[in-house]
Amino acid sequence: MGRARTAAIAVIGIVVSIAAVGVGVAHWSDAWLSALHEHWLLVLIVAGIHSVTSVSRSGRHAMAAWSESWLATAPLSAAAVRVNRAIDCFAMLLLQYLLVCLVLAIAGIAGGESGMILRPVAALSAGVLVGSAVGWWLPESKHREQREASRYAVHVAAGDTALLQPSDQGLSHWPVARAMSMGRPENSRLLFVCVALFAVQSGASAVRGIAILVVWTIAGYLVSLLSAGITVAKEAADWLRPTPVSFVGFAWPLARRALLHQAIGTVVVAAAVFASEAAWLAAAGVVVLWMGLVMAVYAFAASTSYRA
Amino acid sequence: MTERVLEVAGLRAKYGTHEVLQGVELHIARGEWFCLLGPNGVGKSTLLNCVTGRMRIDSGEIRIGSYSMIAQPLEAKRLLGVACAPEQLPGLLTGRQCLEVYAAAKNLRSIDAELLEVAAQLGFTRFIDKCTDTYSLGTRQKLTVLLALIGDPALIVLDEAFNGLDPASAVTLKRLLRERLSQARCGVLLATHSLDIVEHYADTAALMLDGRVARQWTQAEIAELRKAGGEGIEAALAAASLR
Repeated sequence: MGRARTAAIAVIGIVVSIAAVGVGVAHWSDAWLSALHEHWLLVLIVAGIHSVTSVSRSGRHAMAAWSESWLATAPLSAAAVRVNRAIDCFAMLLLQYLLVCLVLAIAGIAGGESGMILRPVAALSAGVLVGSAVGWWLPESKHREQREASRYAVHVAAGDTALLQPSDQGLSHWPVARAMSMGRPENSRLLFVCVALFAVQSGASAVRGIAILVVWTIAGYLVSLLSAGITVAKEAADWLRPTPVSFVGFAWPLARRALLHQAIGTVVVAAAVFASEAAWLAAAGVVVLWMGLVMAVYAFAASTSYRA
Repeated sequence: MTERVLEVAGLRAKYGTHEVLQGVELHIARGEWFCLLGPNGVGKSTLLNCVTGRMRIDSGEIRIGSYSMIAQPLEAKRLLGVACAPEQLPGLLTGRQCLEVYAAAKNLRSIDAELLEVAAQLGFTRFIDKCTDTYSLGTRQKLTVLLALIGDPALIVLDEAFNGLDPASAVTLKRLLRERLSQARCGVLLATHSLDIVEHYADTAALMLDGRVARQWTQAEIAELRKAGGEGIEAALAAASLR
């Protein structure tokens, strides 16, 4: 009896919610649906990015959780484990997909334009399908056995040490690696979705919407790289303090690759700003100001961290 | 007189207002394995941090070879090989990158074949292209030791470097250090709680208490304690600690 009442309340709640959504979207469903219909490419890209990042993130979490689970030592088949991981990875995305489709259907019916929803739904479905497949494959491809085997076992694999030579490339790579670890795409995927939707809502074309997404992505990376430069300078200085490394030998390799990335990224952002009908002087100003700030910050971070 | 690779005189250092080192005196000769013992928190790691230039000192002198760590730090550091704490390794770099960067920082033209052989003996080679974040404690220790051995340094400083090492790797490393010492290529300063190393490998052992060297044992004294059997070294340490 109790369960029946709960189910009845849930059904009533869903019906009321659908009705509320229908009434809510009826006023602006025409403009909204036609924007999505026109910008189907943007819908596809946003859905793809969201699916890749969501599924790969869930996949990594599922793998980590499985390795710590009390069931990890149980004699379960590999297929059963994969099915379990698939449920973990796809369940939430599937729910979100169905919800968005439902809202689109309600909007189409409420606005009397049910034919308009076909293209956005197709783009959404294609984005989710491709993105899910890529997201599923990403953690799989990186999954390697990383535990140390017994010292008493026969070693079958060995790294090639013949090419081991003194090089500061690792120091140059460090800030970039830190920036990538700080700014994983899935951490800002909701931001991408919001930026894309706002771009469309404010009347931007699909190309401009994608350009805005690109600028946001690159700008986010450049800010992360700037921040990474500061933290890595301190860590690297601590690590290398017992060595006789000179200031130039420390600061230049540390900043070299980061500066190159900053320069390329800033030029791309400036080009996008210029393409969006801004004056070339304003675009050049962006490059000069940002690169000036970057160089000042890197120089300050290196000089305050280094101590002979 | 045997050449001294490390000389510490009247060393004082403090964290804020707390004086951790209160006039430490010690010296290590080329070919000598010097073990630093003592309870937690008496200043062993602080002493090593001062010797390796990680921490500024308040007064006193540290000389590595013929160079002052305070007045000529770069020259002094050219003679130094330090195994940093495993958690200080850059987690985003691979073992290969760590070795290459350290060799470049020491201004070396190449990484000698002997070091690569040691890496192979320690079973480290197959982890060389993985990020240090993925290493076990033992594998990290192996990398820190390899970093310390780069460039054939005159003074090797190790802080609990045998922690987490599997027995085979630990023996390999002890033999390797012993061989280098017998060829008078270096001196070794090791902070440890392992009395087994003191008993079988150390030439000199020192007990630190309250920021200074409270008691020192020569190789002959260590041999005497070893011959006495039973709790020889442990008992001697306990007695010295209670004084």
